[in-house]
Amino acid sequence: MTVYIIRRLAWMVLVLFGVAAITFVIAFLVPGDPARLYAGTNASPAAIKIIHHQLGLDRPLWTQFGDYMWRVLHLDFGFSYRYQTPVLPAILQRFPATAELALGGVFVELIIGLPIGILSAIRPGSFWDRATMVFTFVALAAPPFWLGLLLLFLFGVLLPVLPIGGYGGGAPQFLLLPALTLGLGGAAYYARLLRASLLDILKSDYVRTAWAKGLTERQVIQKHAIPNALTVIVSQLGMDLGYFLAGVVVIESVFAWPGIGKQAVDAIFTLDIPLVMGTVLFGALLIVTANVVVDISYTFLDPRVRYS
Amino acid sequence: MKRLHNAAMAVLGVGAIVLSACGNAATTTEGQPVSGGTLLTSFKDDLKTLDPAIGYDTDSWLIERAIYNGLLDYKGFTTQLQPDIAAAMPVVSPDGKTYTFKLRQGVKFSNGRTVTADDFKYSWERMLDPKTAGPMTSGPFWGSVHGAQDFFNGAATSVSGFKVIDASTIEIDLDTPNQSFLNIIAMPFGFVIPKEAVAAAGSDYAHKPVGTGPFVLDKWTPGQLIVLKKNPNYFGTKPYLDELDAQIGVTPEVGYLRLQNNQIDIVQPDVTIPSAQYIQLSANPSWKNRILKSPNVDIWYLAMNANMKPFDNKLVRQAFNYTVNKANQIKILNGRGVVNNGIQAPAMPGYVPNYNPLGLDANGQNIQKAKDLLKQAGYDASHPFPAQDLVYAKASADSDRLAASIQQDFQQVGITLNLKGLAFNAFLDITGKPNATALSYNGWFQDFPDPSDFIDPILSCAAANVTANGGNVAFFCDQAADKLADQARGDTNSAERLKLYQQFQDIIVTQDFPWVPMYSTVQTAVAAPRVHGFQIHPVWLFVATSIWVTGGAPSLAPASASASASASP
Repeated sequence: MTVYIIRRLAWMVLVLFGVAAITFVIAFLVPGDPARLYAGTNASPAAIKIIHHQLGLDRPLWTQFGDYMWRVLHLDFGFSYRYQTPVLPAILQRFPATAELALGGVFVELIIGLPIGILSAIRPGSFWDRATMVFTFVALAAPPFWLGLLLLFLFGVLLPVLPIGGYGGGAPQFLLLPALTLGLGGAAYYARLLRASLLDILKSDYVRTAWAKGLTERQVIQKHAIPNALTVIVSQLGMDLGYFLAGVVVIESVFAWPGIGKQAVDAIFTLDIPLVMGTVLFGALLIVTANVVVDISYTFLDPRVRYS
Repeated sequence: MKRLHNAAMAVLGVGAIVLSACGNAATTTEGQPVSGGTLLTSFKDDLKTLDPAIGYDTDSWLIERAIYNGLLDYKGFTTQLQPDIAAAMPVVSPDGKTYTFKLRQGVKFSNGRTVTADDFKYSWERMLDPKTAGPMTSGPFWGSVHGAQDFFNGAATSVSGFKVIDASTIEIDLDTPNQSFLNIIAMPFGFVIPKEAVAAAGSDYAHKPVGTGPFVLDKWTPGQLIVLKKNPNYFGTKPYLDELDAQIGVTPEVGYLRLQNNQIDIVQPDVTIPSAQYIQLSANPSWKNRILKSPNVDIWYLAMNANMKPFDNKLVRQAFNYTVNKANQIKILNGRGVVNNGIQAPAMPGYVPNYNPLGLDANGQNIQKAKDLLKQAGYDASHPFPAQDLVYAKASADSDRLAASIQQDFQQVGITLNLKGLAFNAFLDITGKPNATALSYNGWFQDFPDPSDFIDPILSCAAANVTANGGNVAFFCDQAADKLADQARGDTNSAERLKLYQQFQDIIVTQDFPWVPMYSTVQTAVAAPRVHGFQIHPVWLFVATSIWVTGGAPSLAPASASASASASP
C-alpha cells in the first residue's frame, strides 16, 4: 500500500506538471494581449510595450514557463495582472467559500440521491420508482443557470423565505439554494447509478443466498446489497468533490457566491495568465488528490481490493 | 473612453440639456435631503484597482471618484469644468501652452496631511512613470507635457513641464497647445495621492488608497464587498450618506431581482439596464416611471479597413453607407438609442443635430443607391460581391441580434456577410492589427466631453500608423483631414475649433467613408424608492454625493423578515 501511495503521489506531480504546461501554452495561444486589457484600449502602443516588459511578456515563451515552474516549486504562483495581488493568497482567500459550497453540494447529492436510488431499486416498477425516475430526468436535464434563477425567484421573491443570492459570511440560509442547485443534478445521477447497481446486485448469487438464509429484507439490503453498490457512488463522489472544489462557475455566478470558479472565469476573460494558471493548478491538485483518496478508500469499502 | 461591446454599454454619458428629450425622470430627487444611512450598490466583477494611475475602466473610476479629487471637476451634472482642489480656473498663457493653478487652502488627505503642489507633481510623475506601468505611461493625453518624452525614455528623472512654483502653486508647460488639456487634467489619472501612503502600502497601494475625496475606503473584501465611509477631512460639501457599500459578484439577473425585493438600492450604476431586465421593469407600472434615461456620448459604427479588398475601393465603402437599417439596430436595443449619421455623439460640443449629408431615409438607408454604387464598383450578377466576415464582440444576446440584423440588411443588396462573434479580448486583438479584419462592428465611448476624443484615438493618421493595438480600426488616414484635427486641437477660439471638427466630420462622412456610422445609445438606470437625488452624470454616470436615502436600509434577509420590505415602490 505504501508503495502504491508513493507511486500515486509521483504520478500526481507529473500530472500537475502536464496540466501546467498545457495551460501555459493554451493561455498564450488564446487571441488577445493581456497588456492591452491591462492598460485599457486607449493606451498607446508604446505604453503597451512598456507594460509587456513590466509583466515579463516580452521574454521567450520557454523562459517564461521555466521561471513560472521554478517559482511554483517555491509556492510562488506569481502576481495577478488584473488585481495586482499575489495569486496564491487571492485563491486561498476565496477557497473557503468554494469549499463550503462544494461540501453543501455533495451533501445534497447524498441526502437526496441515496434514499431515492435505494427506494426505487427495492420497488422497481412501482409508482414511487416511476415518479423518482421522472424527477431524475428533470433534474439531470435542468441547466444549473436556469434552475438557480428559478429557485431564487421561487424562494427569494415569491415566497420569500430565503435571501436572493449573496454569501452572507457563509450562513446556512445563504448556502441552501446554491447547494441545492449544485447538488440536485448530481443527486439525480446518484439515484440512477445506485438504482442500476442495486438492481444488479439484488439479482446476484450472494444476495439469493442471503434470502435463502432467511434474512429480513432490511438485513439483505443494508448488510449485503448497499455496501457493494456504494463503491460506484464513492468513485463518482470523489470526482464530484474534486470538481466542485475546483470551482463551480455557473452556481457562483448566479448566486453571487465569492468562490474561485468565478474568479477563474474573470481571469480567463481578462487574460490574467498568472491567475488562470494558479487556479487551474490549484483545481488540478484538488481533483487529483480527491481521486487518490477515493482509490485508497476502496480498500476499506471493499476488502477484495488490494493495491500493491 | 474605450472601444466597447454592447453588453457593457458602460456609461460616461451626456449633458443634462438633452435629458428632457428622453421622456423619463432625470433624477430621483424628492423632498428635503437628509443625512445619514447607507447606500447599497453592486458590481458584477471585482474591482481591478483603486490606484488612479492604473484604473481605466468605469467600475474603478466610479469608486475612485468617491475617494480622490483632482484640480478640476465637472460642475453639478453638466460637462462644464470648475475648480475642485484648484482655488480657481487656471491662468493660461496667451500661446495656450502654460497653465498655472493655485491650490485651494486647507485641503487635506484623509490621513490628515495638507495637500501641496508637490503632491500633484509626485502623483502625475508616478502616473506617467514606466515603472508604474499604467495606461498613461509613454503617451496618451499627457504626452504633450514638456519633458514627458524624456521622462518616458529614461533621459530625465522628472517631468520638467510640471513646475512647483510654491506650496500652493503648480505650473504645467505643454510643447504644443491642447484645448482639451483641462478635460485631461480632470480625468481620474490626474487625481492627487500622498507619497507616504504609496510608500507605506508598497505594491499594494491599489487596495489601500488614500485621497482627499468625500469618502474613504473602510473595507475591501475581494470578491465580496467594498465599504466606503464618510471622510471627516473632506474639504467640500459633505455627502449625505454615511456609508457607501458595494457588493461584488452580483449578476444583473440577481441584482434586479434584489432591487425589486428591496435588497439593493442601485444595481451596478455604470452599466445600463440589460435588455431582459429593462423590458421587465418597463412593463411594471410600479417601476417604469422610476427608470432614468440619459443619452450616452458614444458612437457605434461599422469600420471598413481601407487597406483591404474590397474596401480599398471607395465606391464599395460608399455603398455600405447606404445599406444598414440603423432604425432596426435601435429597435433591438429596446429603443434606447438614436440614429447617428456622423462621427460625433449627441451632446458632444459641436454635434450637428439631424446630420444627414448623404440624404438617407428615416432608417438610415437608400438601398437603390447602394445597388447603383456597387454596380459602379464593378459588382453585379455576373461578378457578385465576395462574401465578407462581419467581426463583432460577442458579449450578449443583443450582440448577436444586432449583427444578424446587419447581415439581413446586406442580403437586400446581394451581399453575404458571415457573422464572426469573438470574445472581447480576441476582438480587440484582431481588429487592432492592420490587414487582419476587413469589416468590424465597433463602439466608442468618450474619455472626456471634447470632440478631439472621437477623432485622435480612432480616426487620426497616428492611430492608423501602428502594427498592433490600433484604435483606428479602419486603418484609414486622410492627411488633409488630419491637418484640420491638428489645427483644431490647439485652436483657442472655441467656435472656430468646433467648425474645424465639423469640417473633419464632413470629409469623413461624405468623401472618405471609412465607417458606416449607425447610432448612439441611451443610458438607463433605476434606483430603489428610498433613494433620492440619484441622477445619471454626463461624464461619471454615478455621483454619490448628491444621493440621500430614507427609510430602512436594504437587507439581504428575506423580504418577509424585513420591516420595510415591499415588493413594489
